[in-house]
Amino acid sequence: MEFNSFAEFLAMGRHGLYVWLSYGITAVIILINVILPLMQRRRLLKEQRQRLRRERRDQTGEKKHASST
Amino acid sequence: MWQWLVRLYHRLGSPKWFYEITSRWIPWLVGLSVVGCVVGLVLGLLYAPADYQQGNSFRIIYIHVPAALLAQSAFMMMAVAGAVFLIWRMKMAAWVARSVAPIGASFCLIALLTGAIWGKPTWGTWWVWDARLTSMLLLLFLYFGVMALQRAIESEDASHKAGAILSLVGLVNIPIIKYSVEWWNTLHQPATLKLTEKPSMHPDMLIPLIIMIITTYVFFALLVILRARNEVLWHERKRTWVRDLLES
Repeated sequence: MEFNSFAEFLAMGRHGLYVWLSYGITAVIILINVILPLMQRRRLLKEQRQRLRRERRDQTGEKKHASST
Repeated sequence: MWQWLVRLYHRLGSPKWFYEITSRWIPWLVGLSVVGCVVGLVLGLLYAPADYQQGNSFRIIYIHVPAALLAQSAFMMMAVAGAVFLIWRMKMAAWVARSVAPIGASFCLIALLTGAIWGKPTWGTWWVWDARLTSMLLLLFLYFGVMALQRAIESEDASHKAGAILSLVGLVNIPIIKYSVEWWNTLHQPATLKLTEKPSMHPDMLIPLIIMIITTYVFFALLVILRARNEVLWHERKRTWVRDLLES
């Protein structure tokens, strides 16, 4: 282990600001890249399920209409 | 061998096959990414010795170098996928190319930002207009250009074509980035890793770097797959197999 204490680890010599800023920015960009496709998938599945239900409802509605006339 | 390749090609071209096989890959890719990231960062941040010239700021290398390598590989992959789409009209390839673009751009941005932050304590400046930095910035703009084309034009087919052509033209920039540190005088240090030479780095510094590079490629595969699966679901939404999937 290169560091004797957690405070020393955070300080990174005199370079704590640079090291943690780099790692912080990277973490944010990575996180966005994970969240975006997952959110897109959820929305996509939801919309397509709704579309499917709507189509089914319209179909059965048409059948009923056809049999009543 | 040839027949096997042909069969693989036809399978890869099938969106349904892609969706099903990647369902099985995702847990492995997630596991490998997490384990590799934890091991690589613990070794790199805690156990690697400080650099005798740069002190602890050199630890930025564990994200900077993998991100920069990946940004270039991703661009090449995007161009190859674009070429496959242009030549054989494989739609799956176009969807992969479109999935790669924002991810590659993200890693290019990471490389540029961490490089700037690393430059401040090392060179005393955030930015210089030297060959390596400028060609890397050009790579980011090429990514933006390809992304814009892939989404801009009314006809989807035409936008995929335009994106593929720009990514093929943009390939010229890749060797320029690679050799920029050799062709021109630059502040940027020469390549840390060379395939043909024995590394000059201490193994305690080098091993975490190699772990982080491999992990970055695995993680990239995961991100591309996540996006490409959304493309598959959207384009195949009227097919029975997606319908069955939605109802299950």
